[in-house]
Amino acid sequence: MQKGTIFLTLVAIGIAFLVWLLPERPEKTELSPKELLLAIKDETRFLSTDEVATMIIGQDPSLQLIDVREPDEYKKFHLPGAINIPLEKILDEQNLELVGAEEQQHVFYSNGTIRANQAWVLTRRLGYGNTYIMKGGLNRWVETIMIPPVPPSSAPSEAFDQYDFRLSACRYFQGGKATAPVKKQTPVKVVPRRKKKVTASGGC
Amino acid sequence: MGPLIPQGIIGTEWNFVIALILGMAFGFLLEAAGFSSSRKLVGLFYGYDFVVLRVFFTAGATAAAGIILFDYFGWIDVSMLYVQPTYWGAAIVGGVIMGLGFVTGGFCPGTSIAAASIGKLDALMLVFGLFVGAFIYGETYPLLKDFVNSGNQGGIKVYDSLGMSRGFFTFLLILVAVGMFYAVPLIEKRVKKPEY
Repeated sequence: MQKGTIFLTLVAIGIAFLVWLLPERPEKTELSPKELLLAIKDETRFLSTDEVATMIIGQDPSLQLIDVREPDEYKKFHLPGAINIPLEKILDEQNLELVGAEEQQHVFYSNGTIRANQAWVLTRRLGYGNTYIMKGGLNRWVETIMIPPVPPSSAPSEAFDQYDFRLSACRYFQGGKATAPVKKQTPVKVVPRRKKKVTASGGC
Repeated sequence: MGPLIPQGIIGTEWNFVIALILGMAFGFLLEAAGFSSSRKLVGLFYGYDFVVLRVFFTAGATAAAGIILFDYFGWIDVSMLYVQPTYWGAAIVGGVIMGLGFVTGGFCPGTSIAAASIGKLDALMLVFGLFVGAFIYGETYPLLKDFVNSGNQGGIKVYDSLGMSRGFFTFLLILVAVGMFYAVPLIEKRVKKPEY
């Protein structure tokens, strides 16, 4: 037998033993309780109803609203573009596949915050990172967007801007025409730039 | 670190560019290994030439050992690799059709294109047949849909089904491969080799 053949055989068997004896890394997809606690403390997962309304009106293609209430509740009323995944079915394979789509922001909502938060914790624990919660749920949605409270006259101007936005959003969601919110523009100060004097430098 | 595209190290728009480069390399190496000859390919069925078995066992053992070593060094996140889901019924029927086509036509889909590219007429015919088959499949898909999509087992792995560890399975795979490399020349010697 040729020397080369024997050498290759020994190398292959050596690698085979090595592969057998190497410790396997545990498949790390799920979050440990510690990591989950850190994630739960992080408030950035909450989106306000105003933010969600802005995204819906702007037809943000990355927005994926997920209604975690029961199907009959979903049938009665749901936000435009929302899909229905009842909380009990959130761990179904096809639903997880949907939530795992990286290119979209998945926003859970329910009537309040709790069920959406449960859905978020479950999926976050499984390692899905692109999930958010609409804070306050549909109750807050009705309180803020559908029947926006008039701010007191002493409120800061931002509150009135927000009220204007909510009024137009309300009209948008109820089928009327929205008047585009007028943005206040702060005047830009023009600073004249001095031209740099070009000094002749050598070379070509 | 890896896989490079799912981790976002390389943009997804590079997918097709990399696929093209890998495809060209694959075709070139198939041709270089002599896989553009249908007599060589079907030699596996008749027992006079086992180069197909050698190449694919080498590829399998190298890839398996490579992935395990890369995983150990932390160069690749195995959980992010896509595992093709298993459909029992469709896989068996598809395997029979593929095997029949292979032994009668003399090429598998990849090698038929490698052989067609060096101008073999039978391979060109086979590539044409591939498109006809794909067309028929596409047209009858509504009838076949239920069967094709039934019995999805998910991305199951052989070593899980056999109840052994990944390392031990790969160990066995390499040993079997090496054993085959020593055993098949004995068969080749006994069977009369046709001229090609």
